[in-house]
Amino acid sequence: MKNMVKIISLLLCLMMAFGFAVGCRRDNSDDQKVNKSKTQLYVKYYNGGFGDEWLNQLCAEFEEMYADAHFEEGKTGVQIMKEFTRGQLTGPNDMKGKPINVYLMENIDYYTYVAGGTMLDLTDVVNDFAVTGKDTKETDKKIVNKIIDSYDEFLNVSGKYYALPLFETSINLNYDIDMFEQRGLYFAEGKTAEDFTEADFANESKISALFVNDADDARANGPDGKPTTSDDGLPATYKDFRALTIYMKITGVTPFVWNGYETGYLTGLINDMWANNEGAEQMKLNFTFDGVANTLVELDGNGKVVKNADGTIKLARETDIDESKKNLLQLQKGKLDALEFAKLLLDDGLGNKNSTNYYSKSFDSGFSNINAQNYFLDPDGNNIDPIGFLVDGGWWYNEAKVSNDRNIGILPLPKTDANQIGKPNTKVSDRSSFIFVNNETSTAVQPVAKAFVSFLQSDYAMETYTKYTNTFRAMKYDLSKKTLDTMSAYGKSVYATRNSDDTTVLPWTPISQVARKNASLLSYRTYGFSVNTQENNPLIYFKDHANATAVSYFEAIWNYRK
Amino acid sequence: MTGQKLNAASAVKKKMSKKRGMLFYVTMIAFPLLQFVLFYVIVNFNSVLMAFQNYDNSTGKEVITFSWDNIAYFFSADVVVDLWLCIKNSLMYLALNIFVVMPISLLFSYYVFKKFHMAKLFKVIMYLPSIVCSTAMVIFYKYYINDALSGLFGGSVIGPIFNAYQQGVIIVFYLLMSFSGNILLYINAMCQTPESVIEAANIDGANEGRIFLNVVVPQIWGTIVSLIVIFFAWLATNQAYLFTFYGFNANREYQTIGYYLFNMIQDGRFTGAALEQNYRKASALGLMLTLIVAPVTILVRNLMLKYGPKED
Repeated sequence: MKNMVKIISLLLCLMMAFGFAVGCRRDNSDDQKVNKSKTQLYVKYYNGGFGDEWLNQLCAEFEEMYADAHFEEGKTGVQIMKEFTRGQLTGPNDMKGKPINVYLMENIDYYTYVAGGTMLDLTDVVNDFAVTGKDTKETDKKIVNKIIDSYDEFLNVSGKYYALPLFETSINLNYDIDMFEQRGLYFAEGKTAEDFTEADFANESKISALFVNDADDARANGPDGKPTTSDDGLPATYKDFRALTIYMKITGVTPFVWNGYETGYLTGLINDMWANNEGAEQMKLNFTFDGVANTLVELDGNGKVVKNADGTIKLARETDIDESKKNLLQLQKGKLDALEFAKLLLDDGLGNKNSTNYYSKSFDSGFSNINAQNYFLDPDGNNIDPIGFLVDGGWWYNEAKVSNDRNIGILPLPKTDANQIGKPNTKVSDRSSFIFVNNETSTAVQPVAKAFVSFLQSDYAMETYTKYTNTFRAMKYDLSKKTLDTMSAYGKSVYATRNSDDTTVLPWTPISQVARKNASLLSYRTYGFSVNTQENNPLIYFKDHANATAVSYFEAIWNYRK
Repeated sequence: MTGQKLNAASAVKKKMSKKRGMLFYVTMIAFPLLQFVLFYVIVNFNSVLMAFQNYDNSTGKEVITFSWDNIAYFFSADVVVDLWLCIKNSLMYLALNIFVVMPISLLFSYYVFKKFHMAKLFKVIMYLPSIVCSTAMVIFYKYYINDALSGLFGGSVIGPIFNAYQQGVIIVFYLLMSFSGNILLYINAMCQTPESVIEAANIDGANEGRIFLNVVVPQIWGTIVSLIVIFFAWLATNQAYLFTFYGFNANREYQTIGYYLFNMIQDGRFTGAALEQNYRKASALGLMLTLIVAPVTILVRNLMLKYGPKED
């Protein structure tokens, strides 16, 4: 008996050890040894979904460029010491007493770090041309002129700059272009569901008639309203979007998948839709609390949404917004419309047993972003139906190591109705990522740190970033034809969205002093959709409140925020 | 003269011995005192201060002012509703610890202590969850419930949306994890019971139930009181593995005070100035909870020691 107990105990221990061994991942980062004959520049990078290939290349090139430079007595050349991990900074104090010189991080609240006095003043770097070599600089545009206007507005603290934007990214609806072609999921020329009744949506043949029969058939104009552009055949309005989800299921496609652990992705997507509905000018009021609001929904004395005689939502008169009236922005019509969109992600509204629009594990806490990416890319391997859209951030493509022969695109968000088609697009970038230098960097190393930061702002360095990550730095720069030709379909899709004249990207960050005073209110996870002090995500709210409509949810938000 | 010398020598010896005793005492007490000062007084002094601070960096400079705003925040109607939900859940876990985990752990410990059938094997099996880190256990459990048992529950149960079974499966996990740690403590305490006392009880004809209640429980009453005190003190910090299960996204219906506090100051969920403001709100809530929980805990301890069973 004693032996039996020992054997069973040993077996259990071995099973556990096996679990640990399988679960552990080897860290392949090279141990760098300090080369005392060179000046060391310590660089910390948040190595998330975008990976570090781009930065490794640029570091190597920078070291080569400065191989014969003298920054410290008795030393020649620069050695970059890398800390490329998933480690985040918890606040300005986290920078103190650390050897790190240059940081490339995300989730940085710029003003907290500036106020904490831990960022080195980079004004001289920003007002100069970007470094391209030890003794050479760009000659075309100074770095300050490469900063996107909406970023410049808040980076400039009384004429001083302490950081430069790193990447811009939004949460997107990503789709497989090849699958869309094969299954004919594009609207045929001249077709739209805008005039559809509820009965029409329930009629399979009417729905099917909206879509192309063959991949080569002419396609309808997309949300930009223009022919022969990259969004042709894609849903232009919410009603088209609804019809597409119904048609997807007719053709055996599950419309959406997202991960069930980090529901902030969903909040990010609905924030993006809110911004797109409002437009840049009105959306920006949320980050300044200063201006004139002209899209506020009118409420009656009981806090209920007022409708016009034709059933449309009645808008209030233009209202001046200042700190005392900031809560009125919770009544923006674009947000109400975004809630309608959130409902569409869950359900096609037909009320039948097949009306669910998302993959069944999307609200499973064990279903990670990596799982969702894998199921989207390889439905056959996972023994599931193909999936139409993956909800994920711009980093996912690099994170999932998608092969370049896959044709993945980003869906331009549909407009609320036909009247909005062709109106400018607005996106929000909510990860607050920046490049900055530690104020404790020694005087001898400061010139190297500044040169490195400057080099990262060169067109060449930013193009290298895009080449590797298929996304963009949050700066103004263009890509060479050569780079564009070698980019994946996904990268081209990001490029098309970004370079579209009518797309504005707003950083989700408090811009004015008043907004900064209310920073805790402005968290992107809680600002727009909370009905209590806990976090609320629109999709989860609708799941938890089966009878809620977009209007009732909108009223509940107002009731909490008013 | 010789006698006087001897007396003097003895006095010196006594003095030396006293000095050595004092030196030993100071050496022994210095470390815990230092630890208390560093990790309790200094840390909590800052926390108490923060409870009354307002943080503002909107002008580009950190400005800290003092007010009652953070305390007042938790008395606003919206916050009270959410806190009450959390308090109810925290009280439920306290009740589970006292009325489920403790009795079953005691009974099982007694089973092992008395070396009943396969006691050693059960001891190893019950203690296993304590060896494996809770994150790994949560992952196993999530897959087990959401995949292996999905047919039984009609789909995934553990997730950010409300599910009628979810609270139940989280409680089951909590109980499984709680048993293992407690059992080891009770078995150790029971082992201090003299065998002669048990034998005497056996000779007197006491059955197992009577031995357990009238001999073993009084013997380990000190341990029981200590654990109950810990359970009460834990009331405001116990997050019941919710963060491991859900990250930031535990459904509001299942949150405990511990999770609520923890989530308030999660980096990534809030950043920068928002986080700084939340640190201060969390300090205020922590201070208020301490004012409630500390006296209750001390009262419970004193009552249990006064009215609990005595070894004699």
